[in-house]
Amino acid sequence: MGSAGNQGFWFTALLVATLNGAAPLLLAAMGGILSERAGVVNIALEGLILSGAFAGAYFGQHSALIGLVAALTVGAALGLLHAVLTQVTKMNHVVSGLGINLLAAGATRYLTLVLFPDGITSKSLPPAFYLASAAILPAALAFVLRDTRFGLRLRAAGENPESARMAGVSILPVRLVAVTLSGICAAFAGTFLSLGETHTFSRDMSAGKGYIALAAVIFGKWNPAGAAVASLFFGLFYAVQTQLQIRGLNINFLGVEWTSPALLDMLPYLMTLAALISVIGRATPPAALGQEEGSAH
Amino acid sequence: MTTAENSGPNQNSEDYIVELLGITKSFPGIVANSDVTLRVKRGGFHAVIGENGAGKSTLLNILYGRYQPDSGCGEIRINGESVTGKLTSPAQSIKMGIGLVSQHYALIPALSVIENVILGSEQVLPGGVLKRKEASGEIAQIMSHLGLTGIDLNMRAERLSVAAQQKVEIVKALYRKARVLLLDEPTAVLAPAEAESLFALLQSLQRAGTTVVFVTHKLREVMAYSSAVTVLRGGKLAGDFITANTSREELLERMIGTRPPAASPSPDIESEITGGPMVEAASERRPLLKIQGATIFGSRGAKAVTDASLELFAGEIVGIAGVDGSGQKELSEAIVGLRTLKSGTIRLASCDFLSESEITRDSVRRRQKLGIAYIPEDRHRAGMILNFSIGENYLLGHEKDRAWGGGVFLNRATIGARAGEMITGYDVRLGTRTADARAGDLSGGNQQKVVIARALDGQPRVLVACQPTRGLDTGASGFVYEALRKARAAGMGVLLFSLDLDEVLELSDRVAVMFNGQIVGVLPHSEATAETVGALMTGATAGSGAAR
Repeated sequence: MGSAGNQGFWFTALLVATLNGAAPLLLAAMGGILSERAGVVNIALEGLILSGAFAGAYFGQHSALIGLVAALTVGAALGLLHAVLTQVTKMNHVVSGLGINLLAAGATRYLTLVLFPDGITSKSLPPAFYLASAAILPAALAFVLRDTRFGLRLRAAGENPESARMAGVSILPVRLVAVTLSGICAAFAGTFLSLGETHTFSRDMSAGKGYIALAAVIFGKWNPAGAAVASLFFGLFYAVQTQLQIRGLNINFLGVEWTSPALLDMLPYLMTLAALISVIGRATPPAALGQEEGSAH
Repeated sequence: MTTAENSGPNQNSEDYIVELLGITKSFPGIVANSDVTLRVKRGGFHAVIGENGAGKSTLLNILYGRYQPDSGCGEIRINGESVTGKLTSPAQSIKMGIGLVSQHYALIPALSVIENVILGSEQVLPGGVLKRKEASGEIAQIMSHLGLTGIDLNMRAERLSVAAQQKVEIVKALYRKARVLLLDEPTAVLAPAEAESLFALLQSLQRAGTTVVFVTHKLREVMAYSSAVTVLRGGKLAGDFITANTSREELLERMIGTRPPAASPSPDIESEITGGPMVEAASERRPLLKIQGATIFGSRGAKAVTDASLELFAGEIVGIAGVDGSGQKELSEAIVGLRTLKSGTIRLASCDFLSESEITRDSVRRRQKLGIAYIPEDRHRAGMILNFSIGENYLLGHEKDRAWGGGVFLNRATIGARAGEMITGYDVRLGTRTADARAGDLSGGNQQKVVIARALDGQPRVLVACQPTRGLDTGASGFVYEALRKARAAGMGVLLFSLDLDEVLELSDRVAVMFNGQIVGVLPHSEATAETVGALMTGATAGSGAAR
């Protein structure tokens, strides 16, 4: 039985941990929405987050700002690469995304060994900066999608590119810009891990956050607000996991130690899976998601 | 037959707002337009008519910049000025005052009405923010000019009826200041009353100075509304008339074309196998397949077939004639089990014809087991998997059958052997390829042979053949005819759905004619002629109950 103050501390700690868990998911999820609402499947979010985290840490050794700019540049370049591969060379969207993820995982591991085998310490950006960004970005994205020419064309490109073309819209530039911005958002999410949360880079530190962000996009029905709420929801499970670990609670039941670190680590992923199963069949993706632009005749 | 052919001898080109001169357009494996000319008078109401596959839509899409004509072939002029090579995208044509109301690429369902209208021609504030208020004011004004009420601009387009969506498309063209309005089969999905209202709207636009060009295969619309008409057949120009100087009959003849009766591709086979149509004993026999009161809805949720009844006997070919979109597709899909009946029944006789069982709710596979085979209309989408080998395509549908080499583990040797037999038996021309070749590498005629072989080699009792010669040359068509006649001789009942009237007349023991979703007549071979069937097809025959 803890005191009231102790319970309040519990709550605050859980809230902070939730926000910290949710921020990278939310930022990457906004990138996912930009790409997917334009019709481009983006499982490359994972690799983009990882690349952003790496570039942020490496170039942020002396100035966090330089690290941030470098990370966003890398994100833009990889986003553009995904856009060109899928839209110009017409590669399958999942194959291209998978390729970028493998490239990011391999390259960051190799570069870590070459550039800083003994670890790295970067400058940091205040968490408040990220929390503010995470608060503003969904509203800004919702406005762009709804009320700007670019947003309208982006949605049209994702729903029915051939109809959009018949209405006089050029699809290619819209999608190139959308997926490039998507890369920037995901890399920004990555810098939260290296510049915001830890001040370092460790290998595979994205740890599936790109995929969970994608799950948040689906759970949020491809809407910024929905994805933001879903990110907070998934962030809560990260928080519960870490809080349980920190507090070292022991729950033994049926001979299984449910609070063992190995099982707790699975919690966010299991909950994501459960959440996704609950929306299967009810979430409608953009109608032309993943399809090649009309070669119809 | 020679009428006021509008070849424009003493017209100077300034009278024409749009001219497509000598246009040729080919797609891989098909020439959609061959040396076609279309000239549209300023302020005219011009119809382009032809059967399915005549190249009408392609021609409109060329004018709209969606397709480019084959290079070096023809000239395009707008307002007398040559724009050849400049119409590289719809955006270019829109700039030149051309608007298209398309059959397939209409509004985007998930966007609101206003978003659909402004898409691609948005007015924006600095920073790219949409001027929604201005746009909605402008759109409301266009709508009130047109007398359109009750369309909420903020409603998602998918919630509008098909007729309302089409009107929004017209609004969309006018919002872009279109001077020439192209419409691709505008009444294909409309109820008759909606079609009337659409044409009334188009006529009021024409009076206000807009030039209207519409594509149709409905003669009634041409005669009732157009001022001039261009007929296409098989991708070629088949006539150009002032509507007042021509007749329904003349247009039908140009549309369908009439092959001289003697030109039947294989006359000796016909006399040899059939010995003439087998109608005499029909009344004594029990039907093989019995469709009663079938009402079927189409993919877009509109009623496609109304209360259709038809009997098919063993050893006969029943041809289903009708202009495209009269409900044939839905009826054929319902018989093979791809589409459910809203009401009515389908019954199949037992093998001894002593009893019959209802198959109305049976699955496609169940019907297939009972002996209903299908030659789909679209070879590439429904007939085969182009990336599969010939042997694999031949196996499809029999993949559970050990005798075909199917089962849990496929027996490659049996599949190969059976495919080899089929290739010899049906004379599939492989060139230097083997049975492992991709089906997509075969010519259209040889692909069709594989599809037909697969249908017939399951020893079916009923064969539903849809457009079996579409896109085939004369030689390959002859082969298909022969295969259908052999099926009949072997005692199968064959339902031949075809848009090619000559084909239907030549092969069928009886001809059922569909118009407007109804079977408006069933004629025996002796009474079925291009005139009698043609009249039923266009709803011209009084007393059919469906003439409008």
